[in-house]
Amino acid sequence: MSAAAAGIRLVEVRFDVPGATLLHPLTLELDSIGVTGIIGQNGSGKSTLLKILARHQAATGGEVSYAGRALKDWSAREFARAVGYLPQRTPPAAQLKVRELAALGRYPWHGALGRFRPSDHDKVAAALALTGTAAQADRFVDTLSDGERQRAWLAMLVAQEARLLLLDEPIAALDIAHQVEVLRLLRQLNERHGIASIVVIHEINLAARFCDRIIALKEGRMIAHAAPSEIMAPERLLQIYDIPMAVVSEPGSDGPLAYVCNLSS
Amino acid sequence: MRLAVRASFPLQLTLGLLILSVGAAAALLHAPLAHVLGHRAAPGAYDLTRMVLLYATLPRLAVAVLCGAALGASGTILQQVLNNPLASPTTVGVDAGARLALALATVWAPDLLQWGRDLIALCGSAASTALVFLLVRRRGFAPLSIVLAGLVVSLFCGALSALLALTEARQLTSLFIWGSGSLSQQSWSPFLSLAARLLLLAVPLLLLRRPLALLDAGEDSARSLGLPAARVRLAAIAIAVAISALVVSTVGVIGFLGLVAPSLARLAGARRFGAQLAWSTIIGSGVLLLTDLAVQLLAGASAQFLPTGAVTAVIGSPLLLILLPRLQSATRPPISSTGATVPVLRRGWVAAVTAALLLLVALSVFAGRGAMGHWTLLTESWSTIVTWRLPRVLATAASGALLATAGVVLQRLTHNELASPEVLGVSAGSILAVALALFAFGALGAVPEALVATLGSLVVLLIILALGVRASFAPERLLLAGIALSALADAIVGVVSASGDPRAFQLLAWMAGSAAGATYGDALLAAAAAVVVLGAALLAVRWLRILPLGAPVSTALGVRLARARLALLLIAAVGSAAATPMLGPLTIIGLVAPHFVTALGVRQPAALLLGAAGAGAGIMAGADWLARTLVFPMQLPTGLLAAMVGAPFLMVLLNRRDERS
Repeated sequence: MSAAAAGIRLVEVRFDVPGATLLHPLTLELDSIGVTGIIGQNGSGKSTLLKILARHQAATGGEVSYAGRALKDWSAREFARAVGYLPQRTPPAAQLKVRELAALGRYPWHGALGRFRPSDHDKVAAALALTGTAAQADRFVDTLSDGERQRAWLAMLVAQEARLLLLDEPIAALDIAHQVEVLRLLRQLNERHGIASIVVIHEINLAARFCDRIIALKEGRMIAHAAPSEIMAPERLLQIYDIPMAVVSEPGSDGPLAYVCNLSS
Repeated sequence: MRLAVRASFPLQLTLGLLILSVGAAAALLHAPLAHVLGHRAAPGAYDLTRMVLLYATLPRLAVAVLCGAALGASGTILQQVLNNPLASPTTVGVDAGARLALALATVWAPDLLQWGRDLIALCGSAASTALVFLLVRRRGFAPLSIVLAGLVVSLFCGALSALLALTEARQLTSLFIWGSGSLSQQSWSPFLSLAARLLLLAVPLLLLRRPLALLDAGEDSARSLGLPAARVRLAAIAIAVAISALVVSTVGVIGFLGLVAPSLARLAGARRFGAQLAWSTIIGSGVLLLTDLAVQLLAGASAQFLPTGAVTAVIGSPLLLILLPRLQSATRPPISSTGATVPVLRRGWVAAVTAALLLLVALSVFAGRGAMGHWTLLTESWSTIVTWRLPRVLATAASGALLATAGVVLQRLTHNELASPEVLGVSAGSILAVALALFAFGALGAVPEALVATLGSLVVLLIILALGVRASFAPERLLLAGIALSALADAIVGVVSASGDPRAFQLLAWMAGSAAGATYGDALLAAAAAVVVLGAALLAVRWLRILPLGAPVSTALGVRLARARLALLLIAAVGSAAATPMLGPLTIIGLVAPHFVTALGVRQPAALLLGAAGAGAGIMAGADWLARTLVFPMQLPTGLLAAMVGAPFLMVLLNRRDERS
C-alpha cells in the first residue's frame, strides 16, 4: 500500500456536546504520518480528535477517512487490524498476565472463534521482544510499574499488527528515561516496520525530538500543523501554551530546546 | 443549559411525587377530615372516624414519611461507602437477619415475642450484620467484600426463613405480612419512639457527612487527605445499618426503598454525596408516602394487611426503569477486584475440591434412606437407582451447571462480581409469569408451568434487551433493570403470600423447584441444555476475556460490542431459564459457583467456565441429596438447600481468600 493511500483525511470534522463545541470544523490531510505529535493545552481537544480517529467516538459532523475509506465503512475487525488505540488511562487488567494481554492483540486477526495458530504465538513473542517485555511475560499486568505496564499495553498494540497506532498521552505517567524509551520504540516501529503513530504528548522537547510533524490544538481549533523546527519558535509556543517560552540550541547538536522564561520572577 | 436542566431534575421529581401525594392524601383524608372538623362541637363523645383519623391514618402517614426518609438516607450511605450502586440495607444483611430472627422466635421460642417484636428483629439484624463484618474483617472492610459477604449472608438467612415458612407455614403467616412491610399503626407511640431513635443517629451522621463526601475522590485520595478510610467506612456502615434496622424492626421489610431512593436521586441528577443524601432522603419519604396513600386508597379496609413494602416495589420499579435511560454509562468506574491481589492457582486445593465434588455426586447416586428411614449406601437395587435417583441427580446437576455458566457469563459481561441470573431479573420474570398464571387459571401442572416460566423469562429478557439496546447493553443499566424487575417479582410474591390465599403456597412450592419429580425426559432436556449453553459460552470465551477491559479497549480490538453483549446475554438468559423448572428461581448457585472457582485461583475464562459448571453441578447434586435425605420422608426444596450449602462454602472462602496476597 502506498504511503499516500494509508493517509488520514478529515473534512470539516467537528465534535459537539450539548452546550459546547469540543472540536471546531477541522480539515486536515496527513499523507505520510510517520510519528505525528498532537500538542496543546489541557482541554484543547487532543483526546477528542484521537478518539474520533480511533472510531471510539463518532464525529458529530464532517467526514473522516483512513486509507481512502470513510471510517464508518470499515468493519470492526478490519479497522482493528489497521489501527490500534491506547486510551489515556489504561483499564485495570485484573487477572491478566503480560503475555495474555499481548495475545489479546491477535483478536482482530483470529476473531471470536478462529484458532490461535503458531504464527499468532510467534507474533506475540515478537511483540514482547520488541517492546522489551519478554522478561515480564509471566507477571500480572496490575503488579507492574507504570513504565512496564505501558510497555505491556504497547506489546498488545504491536501484536495487533496495526499500521497506525493512536496513543493518548502514553508517556504522561513515566519518568524521563521511560518516556524516551517509549518514544524511541515508536520511532523504531516507524523506521523498521513502517508502523505510523499519532501521539498526544505534553513534553514539547521530546515531541520536537521524536516526532516528524506536530499538530497543535487550542480551544478545539488547529492552530499549527508543521515540522517540529517550525513549532519550536518563541512566538508559536506562546500562541500554543499562553506562556512566554524561549528556545535555545542543545549544546553539542542543533536540536532546539524550549524552556519557560523568567520562571523565578 | 442542559446542565441546568439536569441539576433541577430532582426538584421536578420531588414536586411530582409531592403533587401526587397531596392529591392522594386529599382523596383519602377529605371525608374524615371534613367529618372531624364538622363535629368539633362534640369532643367527649366516642367518634370512630375521628379516632381512626387521629390514631391510625395520620400516624401511619407520618411513619411512612419517616421510614421512607430513613431508608433513603441509609441506602445512600451504603452506596457511597461501598462504592456500589447496587448496595442497599438488604445487601448487608439487615432485612434477612431480622426476618430469620423473628421466624425462629415465632416457631421455637414464642415466649421471646413478649419482649417485643422490634427487639428480636433488631438483634437479628445486628447478628447478621456482625457476621458480614466478621467475614470481611481481614480485608480491611473492602467494599466489594462487604457487598459479597452481605449478599451471601442474606441469601443464607433468606433460605433458612423460606424453609421455616414451608415447614411451619401456619405459624408464620403474620410474618409474611411483616416480611413485606406493613405500616399500619394504632397509635403515635411507634412513630415517636422511632423518630427519637433516628434523631439520635442523625447526629453522628451529620458529623460523617464531610468525610464520606471525600470518598467521591476515590479511596486513595481520601486517605491521603487524612481520612482514616477503614474507620470512617465502618462507622458509616454501622449508622446506616442501625437506621435501617430500626425501620425494619418497627414496620417490617421495605428493603427495596433503600436501593431505589438513592438510585432515583442519582438518576435525577444529584451528583455529590451531600446532594444525594438530601435528595434521596426526600425522594425516599415521597415514594413511601405516595405508595402508602395509594395502598390505603385502593385497598380500603383491607389496607391493614396489604404490605406497603411490597407495593413500594410496584411503584418504585417502574420509576427506576423509566429513569434508567438517563443513567450515564460512565458515572462510576467499573467495579473491579480491588488492588493488585494476584490469584494463585492452588493445585492441591483444586484437586481436593474436585474429589469432594465427585464424592458428592457419587453419594447422591448411591446413598439414600430406605423405607424405614435407615441410611443406605450401595445397598439399593440398580432399578431403584436407575429409575428414581439417576434422573433426579442428572437433572439437578445439569441445572446447577446451567446456572453456574450463566453466572460466569454475567459476571464477566457486567464487570460486576455480584451479577447472577437472579440479579438479571430472568428468574423474576418466571416467578411473575407463574404467579399470574396461577391466579388467572389455577394450578396448571408441571409442563404448562415450565412453559409459562420460560415464557416469563423470555419476556423479561426482551424488556431488558429493549432497555439496554440504546446503550449497547451498558452493564450498570442492565443490573439496575434486573434488580427493579426482581423487586417487582418479590413484591408480588410478598403481596400474594400476605393475602393468605392458598394459591400462595402453590407459588411457594413451585419456587422451591420440582427436582423431586424429575423424569428422564426432564433430565435429558436439562443435560442437553447444559451442553449447549456451556458449549456456546466456551465459544465466546475470547469475549469473556476482552470485555472486562472495558469498552474503549474492546472496541479498539475490533470487538463489536452490541453483538458480543447480546450473544452473551442470550447465553445467560437461556441458561437460567432452562434451570428454573427444576430448581426454582431462587438458588444462588449462579452467584456462588463462579466465586467458588475464582477463590481457588482459577482465572482463565475457559477453565473458569468449566470449573464453575462442575462446581455448580456438584454442589447442586449434594444439595439435592441433602434435600431428599435430611428430614426423610419429607423432601426439602433443592434450590433452598443449595443456598444453604453454597452460602457457607462461600463464607469460608471469603474469609480466607486474600490472606496471602
